[in-house]
Amino acid sequence: MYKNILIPTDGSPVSRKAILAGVRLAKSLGAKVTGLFAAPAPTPVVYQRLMPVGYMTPEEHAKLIERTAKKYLGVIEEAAQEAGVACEVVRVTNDFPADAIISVAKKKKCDLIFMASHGRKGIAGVLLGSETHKVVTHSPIPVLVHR
Amino acid sequence: MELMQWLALAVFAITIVVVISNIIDSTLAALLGVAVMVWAGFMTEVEAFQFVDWNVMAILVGIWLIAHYFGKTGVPSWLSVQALKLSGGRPGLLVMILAFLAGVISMFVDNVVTILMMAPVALPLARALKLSATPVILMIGFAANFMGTALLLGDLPPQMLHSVSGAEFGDFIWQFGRPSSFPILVVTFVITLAAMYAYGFRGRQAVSTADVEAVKFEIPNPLLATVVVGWFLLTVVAMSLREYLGVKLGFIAMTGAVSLVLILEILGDRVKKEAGEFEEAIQGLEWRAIFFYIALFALVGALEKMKIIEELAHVITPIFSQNYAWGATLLYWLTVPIVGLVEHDAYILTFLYTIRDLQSAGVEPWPLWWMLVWAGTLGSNLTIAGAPALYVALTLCEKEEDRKVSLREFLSWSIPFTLVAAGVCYVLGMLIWVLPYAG
Repeated sequence: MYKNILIPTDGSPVSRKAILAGVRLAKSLGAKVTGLFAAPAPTPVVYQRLMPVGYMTPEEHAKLIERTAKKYLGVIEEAAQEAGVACEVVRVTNDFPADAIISVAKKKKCDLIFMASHGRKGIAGVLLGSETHKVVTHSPIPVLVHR
Repeated sequence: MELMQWLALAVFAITIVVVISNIIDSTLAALLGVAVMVWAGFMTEVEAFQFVDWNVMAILVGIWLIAHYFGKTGVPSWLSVQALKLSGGRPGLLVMILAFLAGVISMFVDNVVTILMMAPVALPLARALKLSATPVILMIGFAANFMGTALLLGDLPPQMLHSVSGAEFGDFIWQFGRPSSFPILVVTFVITLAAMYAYGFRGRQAVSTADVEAVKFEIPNPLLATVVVGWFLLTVVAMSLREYLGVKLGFIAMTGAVSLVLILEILGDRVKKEAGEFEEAIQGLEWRAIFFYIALFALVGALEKMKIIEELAHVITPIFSQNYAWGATLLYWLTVPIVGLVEHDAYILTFLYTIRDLQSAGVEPWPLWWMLVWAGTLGSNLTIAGAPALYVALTLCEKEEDRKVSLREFLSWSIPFTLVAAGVCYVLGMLIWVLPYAG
């Protein structure tokens, strides 16, 4: 039914669970998976959510982002390899993960987005909203939310 | 204040809120505000027309017309390529040189036009040096916005200062035996660029000299470039000699523009291909901005007529008469965030008039006028709400990088730039202008 499943990750434990479930689904359907990590632009100020938490040169920040992306996307690659599922990983610069997910899904011709259910919690959740909710609301292709 | 004054103030405030919130087009909102002022009887339609400083409007239109042809010469692109050679392929240095170039051009050319001139070349240069487009274009935007106030021609606030106070071209360089806008802003600009280099552009890997040498650009029509640049400089020189010529600056700017168009028409096919038709130049003018500024003068004129500005001056006089340095400090540091968040031209024009009215209470206006204009310009770099030039810059960044630039990414560049610039300029302004008058 589905041929190319997009699995975004933010490196959190719940998205790791979603990765494993997404890869299992891909295997059962004979589909490939496209892993995605949307990273912020490498600015001198390093943010955690809305709060500035540190300073580094943009080059150092870019290297940090690259290492983080490699680590997070590596989880998807590893899971796919173990399951024998074809896998492609994509890293984009975008401060708006929901936009990035929908945009990459279109560009890579994915026919399903498989993502974790949780959004931000507490005040951050109220201020920024859930990325999953935004994707479910705006995606033109089916979205499977994993709990 | 009387009821009519409160009502006029309410119409003005509502108009500005609508302009800021963009519920309807800001120019339309400002023009509607003028219409309400007239129908409500706060001023007549003839007075609304008379409140507009047509001299300032003529400076704007004249310089914009010349700038349109300047953009067609390819000189900004040629200068940008020279910047690349000068940088020796060092990305951080290139950004600083491009920003400096944008600052120099914006002293004579509108800020938005400066960005539109430089971006088409800066973007490929950024790509060649493996730089992200966003910080490069934002730096050009900040620089263009910053240096627009150094001289009389580059932005509306210095022209409004000319309108309200009578400041001449030379007063922007040296006034009352002390350096004024140009030297103070140039020093501030150089220090700010150095700080921004250390903050976000140092230590980047240089590209090979072969890559740098491979980038070439030739002026497409040297005759057009010579005529336009020569005529532009001649117009600027004539404007600097206004007092001796005995005519208004707007008349000189318009004469420069119209005579340039005439020369280009006479040169005909030798320049037509690159220069384009006169009709295109007219269509390219920022008509929305022109009508917005016209409406702004009429709106503030109504406040002036209703003696609201006089009331405001009366209320704030004690702050300056009791402690001049503290008053100037308060004016400066309140202006910086305010103009970063709201449309700054209305704010600056209102306070230029207010400071003029402070004179009757014996408060020296010049240090306050300068501090207001500098804070008004430097603070407007804080967000895109404060400066149309930054909106244009951000749009170019998003188009180039095919993504939205978040507020936190924008602020990570704009806040350090604005803080350093405003801090350095405050120290210089206080030492050179405020403290000598505070005693």
